[in-house]
Amino acid sequence: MEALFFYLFGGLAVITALVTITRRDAVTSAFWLIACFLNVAALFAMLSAQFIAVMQILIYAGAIMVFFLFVTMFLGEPRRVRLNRGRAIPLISTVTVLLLAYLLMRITNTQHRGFPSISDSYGSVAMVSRKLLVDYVFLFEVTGLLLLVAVIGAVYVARKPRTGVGEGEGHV
Amino acid sequence: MAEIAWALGKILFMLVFVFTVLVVMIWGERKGSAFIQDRIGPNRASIGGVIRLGGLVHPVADVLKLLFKEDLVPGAVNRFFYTMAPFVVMVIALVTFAVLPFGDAIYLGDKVIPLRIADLDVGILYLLAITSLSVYGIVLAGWASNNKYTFLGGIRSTAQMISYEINMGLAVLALLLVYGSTRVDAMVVEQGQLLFGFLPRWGVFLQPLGFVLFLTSVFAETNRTPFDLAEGESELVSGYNIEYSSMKFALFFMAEYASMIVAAGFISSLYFGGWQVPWLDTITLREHAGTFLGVSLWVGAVFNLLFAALLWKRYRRERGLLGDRRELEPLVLGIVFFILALVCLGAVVIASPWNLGEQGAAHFATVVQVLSFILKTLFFSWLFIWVRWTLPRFRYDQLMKLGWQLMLPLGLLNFFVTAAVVLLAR
Repeated sequence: MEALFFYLFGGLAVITALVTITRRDAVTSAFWLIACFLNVAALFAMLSAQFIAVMQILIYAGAIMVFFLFVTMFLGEPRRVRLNRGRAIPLISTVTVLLLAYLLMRITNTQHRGFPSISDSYGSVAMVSRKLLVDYVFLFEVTGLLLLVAVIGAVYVARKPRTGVGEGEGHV
Repeated sequence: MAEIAWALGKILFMLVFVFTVLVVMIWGERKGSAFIQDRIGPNRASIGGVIRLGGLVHPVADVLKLLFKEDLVPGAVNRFFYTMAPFVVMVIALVTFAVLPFGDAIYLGDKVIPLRIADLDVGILYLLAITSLSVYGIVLAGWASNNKYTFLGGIRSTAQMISYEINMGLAVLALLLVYGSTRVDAMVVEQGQLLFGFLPRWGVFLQPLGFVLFLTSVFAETNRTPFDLAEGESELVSGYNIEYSSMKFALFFMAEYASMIVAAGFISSLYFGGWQVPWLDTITLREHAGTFLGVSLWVGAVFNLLFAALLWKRYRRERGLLGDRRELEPLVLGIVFFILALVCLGAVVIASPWNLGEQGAAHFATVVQVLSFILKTLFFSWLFIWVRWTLPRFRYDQLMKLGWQLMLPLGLLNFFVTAAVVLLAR
């Protein structure tokens, strides 16, 4: 039963990911990417990682993709937003395939088969929060600070210039 | 096997509940708006020319009409996404119900059956995750329809969702701090206690500001007036659903109401004690089940008799005014109420010692709690209608200003104050 669902969601995740990168239209791509994220969330849920599954939906499928869609739809006509694939594609894909092959080789060659098993409640909200807010609280707070700096930087970059060129236009 | 049967039973209960309330809400929307605008409202559709039920037959006629209408797909649409959009909207509106408890756990012998569909550790976060997806149905519809109005509706909806999701999340986070649990059923159980010995320990009393923020965000998330910019009839014709007709349009229409009912269920569960009956916890309800049952049967008998008498009077008074079979309606309904009164009286006589036994008392308590949940949900469903016909739609800049400049700081303030109080009170 579990294997069935694993192959179902895993297969769907792979298929939707492939569809995502083969569409030429940015908005269509984005929709397929959302489907892919949802399948990945289902895989997380099957691993008893409920918290990560919900966060996958909430943050990736929910928040980030809404932003993606908003921006792609807002900039220019929806049917004209084409993805620029460029000339670097052969190079990038070669490197990616090589990396993937190397990774697969390492995984199949590894001596250490299987990971130590963890309890079913390991992925629960309480356990994840204990890890984040007690065991690794310093790293957690530093990450928060980093994100804050990024937000302030983004606001600074996006602000309207007070004087000089481009006055009245503003950067959107 | 029994597990699966119970799960299916609970899912069925929820579906029947949502679709029944949905019909009542469509009726309530029409009659409510008529009441608020001093009109009569729909009253023409009838069964056999007799039963009109004050317009309650109209939604049935509507559904029949929409079911048999031709399913038209415009030529320039993206067929796949166009067809998918109504389903996405409906599914997302319905699945949110999974974590909502509608009664205290039932004990059958040594088996415990919690009255909620999914046992999710993440609880309320699931609500946030699913509502964050709810915008996609509208965006899909708006984009796939290949129409400028629908497209603008979709864009407005995304902007609105981005702005109000954060506020909703902040209100919910403050609740998590207060109750110390992510589970909705645990939150509802917590609300069964008393505050200062007389006030029910409801979320609305612990988090008044949080409640206002949550309520406003929920209105925005369900795309309901004053936040229905995605539809905006005066600007966008009808927004994201212009290109839809027949059952596909009906799905959008029903999903809007379904998501409102779910939202009302969450408002009552998070801030108004859910299935808890104020001042009566499960134990008291079970102990005095016989007395409560007897009293409610007596009250039921009296009120049914009263209704029957009033309807009889109305029948006598209005006979001959209309000159057709519509006059018979008060008579038919009066007879129904009279029979109900007799049933209540008969039940009083038969069950006169009012000793239900332990199992019976427990079931009685469950029924009362489920009724309490349904009543609260109905009230908040009515609130959605009430607000819609009272407040005008926001302008886009007002919407953004309210979300980012007023509600976000208030939400943060509420969150920090709650955190400080919880920390100090511990």
